Amino acid sequence: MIDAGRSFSGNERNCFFLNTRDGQFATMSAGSGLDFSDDGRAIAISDWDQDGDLDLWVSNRNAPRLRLMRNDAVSANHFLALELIGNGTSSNRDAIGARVEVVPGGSRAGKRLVATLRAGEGFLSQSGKALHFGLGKATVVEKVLVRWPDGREDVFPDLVVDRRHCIRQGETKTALVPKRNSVDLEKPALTSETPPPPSGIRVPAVTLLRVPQINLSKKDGTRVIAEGRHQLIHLWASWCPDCLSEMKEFSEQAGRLRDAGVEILALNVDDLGDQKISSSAGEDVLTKLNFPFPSTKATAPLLESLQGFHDSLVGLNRPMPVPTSFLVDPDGRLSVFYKGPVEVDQIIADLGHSEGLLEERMRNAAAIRGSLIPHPLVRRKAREHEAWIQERFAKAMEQADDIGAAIYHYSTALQLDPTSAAVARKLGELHFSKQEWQEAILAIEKALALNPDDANGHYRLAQLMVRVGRQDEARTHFEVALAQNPKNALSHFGFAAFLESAQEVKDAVLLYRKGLSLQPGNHLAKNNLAWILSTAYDEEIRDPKAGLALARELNKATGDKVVNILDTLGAAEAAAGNYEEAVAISLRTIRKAQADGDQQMLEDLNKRLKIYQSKQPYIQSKP
Amino acid sequence: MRFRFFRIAGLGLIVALLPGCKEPVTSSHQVQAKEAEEPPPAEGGQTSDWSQIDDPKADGWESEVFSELASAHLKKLGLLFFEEGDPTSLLAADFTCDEVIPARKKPDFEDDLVSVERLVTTEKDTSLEQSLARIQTELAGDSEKRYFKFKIIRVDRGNDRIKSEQLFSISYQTETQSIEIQSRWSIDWLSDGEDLKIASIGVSDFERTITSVPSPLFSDVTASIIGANDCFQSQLSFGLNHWLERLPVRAMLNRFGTPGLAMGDVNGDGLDDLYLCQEPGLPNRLFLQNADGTAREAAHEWGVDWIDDSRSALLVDLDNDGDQDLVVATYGALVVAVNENGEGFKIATALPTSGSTASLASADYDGDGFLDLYVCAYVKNDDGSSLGASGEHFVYHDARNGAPNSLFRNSGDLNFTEVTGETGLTANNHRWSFSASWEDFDNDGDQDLYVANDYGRNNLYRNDEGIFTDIAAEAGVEDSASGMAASWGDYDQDGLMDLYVSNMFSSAGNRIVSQEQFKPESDEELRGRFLRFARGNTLLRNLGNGSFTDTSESAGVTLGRWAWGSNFIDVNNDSWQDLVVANGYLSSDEDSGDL
Repeated sequence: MIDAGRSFSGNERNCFFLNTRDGQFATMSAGSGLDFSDDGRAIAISDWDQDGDLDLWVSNRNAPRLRLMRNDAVSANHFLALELIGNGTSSNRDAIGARVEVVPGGSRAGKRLVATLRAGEGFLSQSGKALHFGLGKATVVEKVLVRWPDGREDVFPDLVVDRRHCIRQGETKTALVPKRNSVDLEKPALTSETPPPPSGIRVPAVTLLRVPQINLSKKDGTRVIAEGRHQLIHLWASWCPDCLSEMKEFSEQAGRLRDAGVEILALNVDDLGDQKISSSAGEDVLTKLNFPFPSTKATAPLLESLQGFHDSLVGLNRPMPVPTSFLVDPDGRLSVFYKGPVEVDQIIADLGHSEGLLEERMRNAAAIRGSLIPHPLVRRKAREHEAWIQERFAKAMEQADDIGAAIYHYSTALQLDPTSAAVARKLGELHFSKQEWQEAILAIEKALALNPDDANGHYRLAQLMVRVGRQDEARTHFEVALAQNPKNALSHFGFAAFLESAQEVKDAVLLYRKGLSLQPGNHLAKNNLAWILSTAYDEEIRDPKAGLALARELNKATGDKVVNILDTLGAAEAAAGNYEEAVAISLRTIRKAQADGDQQMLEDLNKRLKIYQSKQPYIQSKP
Repeated sequence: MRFRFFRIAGLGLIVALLPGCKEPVTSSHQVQAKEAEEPPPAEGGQTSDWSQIDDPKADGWESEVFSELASAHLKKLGLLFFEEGDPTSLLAADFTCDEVIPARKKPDFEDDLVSVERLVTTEKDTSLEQSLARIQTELAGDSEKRYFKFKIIRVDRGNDRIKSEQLFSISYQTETQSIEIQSRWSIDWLSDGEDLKIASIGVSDFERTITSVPSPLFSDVTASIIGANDCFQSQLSFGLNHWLERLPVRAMLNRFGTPGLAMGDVNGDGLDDLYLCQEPGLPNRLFLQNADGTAREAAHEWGVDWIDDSRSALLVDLDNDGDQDLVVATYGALVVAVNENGEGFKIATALPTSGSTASLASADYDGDGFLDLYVCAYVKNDDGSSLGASGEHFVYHDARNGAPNSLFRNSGDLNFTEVTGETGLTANNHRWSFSASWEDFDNDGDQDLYVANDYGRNNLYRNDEGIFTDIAAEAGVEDSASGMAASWGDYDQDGLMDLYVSNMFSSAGNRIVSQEQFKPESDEELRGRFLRFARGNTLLRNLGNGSFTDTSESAGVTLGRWAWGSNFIDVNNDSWQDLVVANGYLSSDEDSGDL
């Protein structure tokens, strides 16, 4: 609702409450003339024109975004305005924090008006620095007492009313500020009408999103738009006059566009939306123009996707108009989009936008020219913020199962903010999931450089090192992972498996046992351990009794149906001398394996069956 | 419109992407966001989004369905104050009413400008037609100044009758006066399905304010002052929605459209100048006042036409050299720029802050003669864990996952050190802070600090020799609601500084929380907290003994609507502090209702 730009608790009018001196206030919003429904925000108060009453500036969400409301009250009341100047040593020069008490003449005993000079109050506001006192009907001021920020006090008797006085800390007299020439400002009716918006909206992206490939294939399967070209995805309808003149311009200037590296992909939306018309109209237009670029009909999902990119890049998610065009750079990143017609010159001028650094893109995307704050901290914060936005896009892409795009956005986030271990780690995981081992290693090494205490990171890196055959490094990272998190059963099992395959079976057994004490329900680890205990070459390691107990327990727990576990159980029975059982189990296991069609397993099982039939246990060969 | 819009069903594929705004979350038992005060989420597992407000009809809030019907009905009745017509079709056969618009009586308050009548109750059993006619015969002047509004704040259902309580306000002009009326109506409804009739109207808390000047107190002279500058047409004449169609929203607060203002005399000519902050992609503006009262825009010339996300600013003399330096709160940093001989600003330093900054407030808290800086921070956008008001640990009525505010000590020479921790200001420094204001509330000579927080309790930090203690609870100024703005003023002229806090008035919040169905499992204390949230603005009277009392309702200043900025101001120089409130959440031509 907010995204869509609709009202919510809107059209509420500013309020004014008049103090009626009895502890109550009367609502006088209409009478005050302040009751605009602008979605008012900040209010800053001062006697802007120095005519003796307080005016106010109001900033708004709506147009106009700023109003000066001049006080036109016709009143017989008097005032006193005071400009304070602190000594600049023990009190700040602005005298912020000074407390002033004014005793108007002829008032009831003990009456005093108090005010404090403040910098910052209300909402996002700082009011003017002159303190303004309404005096009612009093025509003299008996006394003004100033307590300066350093605590010192000065008292000034008999100040002239209806004037502005300057009070300097430590001086015995106040100075009259010369009267300002009266300010004569007309009050033209400020129309709430805004000027007509420009006909087209150009939106250069600050955050570059990777868009899914939209392309057409020729009959022979090759792509219509070659790699390395800019694409202008152009949504058009045959009922839209702007589209027709734009398509004409694209046709006439096809040579220039192509020379600049741009291909247009025209997507006709005649069949979509609430303006559906006959399906041949679009074709007729293309034929008549002899349109030199590829074109097809847009589909609803495609349009939704493009609307989604639009909505992600601007703050107001209104439906896109026709025509709308998306300029996608050769790397598949959405660079600029245009709501309404766009000229060829503009497209060509925009081709370099996505190549610009973040700062250049921010400057380019500003709706009105201005400067970026030239301070390294602000720039770094902006980059970190952009990294955070990139990370969010990455997460969304991950959820949408577009891992390639997720990797792109995480990488971009990491470039912008190279200090984020979490992003580097995430990037490593995604590369891992895509079996991109080298990239995964680089990312995780980076994550570990930023956060060396990430035990899981070390574990993942160890696994990666195994996959690329860097055994020594794998060992090191397994060891670090274990040392950093000795309570993690998985690190035990992973390292144990590593050691087992490195023929360090004794250590593997120790680690399996330790891991199982942490996570007794791990079937895989149990199976591996039972296998080692039943079949290890080294007699010192072999423990047929323990192996059999473990294998039986495991097989029971897994329902007497898992081929690998049954295989272990067979070997365990044989190792314990129960050859008949071993043969019986082997035969059952072979039937299951046949059903699964696992040839390698079948071969192994048959080999072992023969050994059991000859009343021998199965022992692994010498390492 | 040059081109036509077309619409297709559904949202885009990747709508969940905008920073800080659209993170889908799984709701637990906590209400998600300010606007989601109504209605609370259904039983767990529902996915919601703070920027999408639920349809009350779909959520079983019968009072909301009824309110919509009743509002439409009352709108028809309201129009009859301004146009002749027969109300009979809106009323039950045995309709009765109190006097809705009583004849004028002797005012309870009167001065040069204004008279105010107040009635606790009005005359019983009178004719509605007479009340309608009473306004019609007076009507004159600008028909655009005619306005009425009903806000239904409570609905009770009986078997065949429904009772509702509503605030009725109406304003119009006569030949010489501007008249506005506030009152509270109790209505008995006859209901037959969707067909409603009003059976009776009871009236209480009637107030009529008559401003006896032909034109309003304030007039808009913006165009005369800044109209000659390009930015007036090209930038300031467009509302935020126009810009949001073409600018990225990079932080949550960008959509709220909250341009900060700072006033000061930057070129030392004795006239006030104004700095205006803007959203990212729109340059901040500096208006220098000319001798004739107009203002020239000079942000570029002064080196401060910044397009970075800027929330608020201060013009203060930080180095005690007699001119006004500039501080701007941007996303994640305070930028401090020194005034160079009244001709331009030069960045001296930048100070890191957490998350999305909001208001700034400056005072010399440690009495060393240099102004220090306090900055509020609202949402922790940067860690991604508390996006919008939808983070896991978000508790609507007592949120503690906001971004921490910071105090920077100025040790002269524009050297700033963050001292939030060592001064004790880290206590309760985890709220969604919008604004802060320094004041010596206990008249002991040092500067204390009040902080107004959204989604929960505010802070009052008492200063004891540079060390702060949050005494909001014991002082009675927690004002647990949607704090937006805080300002100090002595409204009762007893020499003690009182406090006015902007909150959010929500008629829907009032309606819903007053029902049994609202959080039936919760205790009265919690329901009270939620009702308090919907009440509106708060006036806290300083009792002089270190504590305050809430006088909001007796003073009649709660209905500031969806309030943002508010300030004390004596507009008529009568020496009494009045109050001005800026409000409205989001307006556009497509209205989706009110809270």
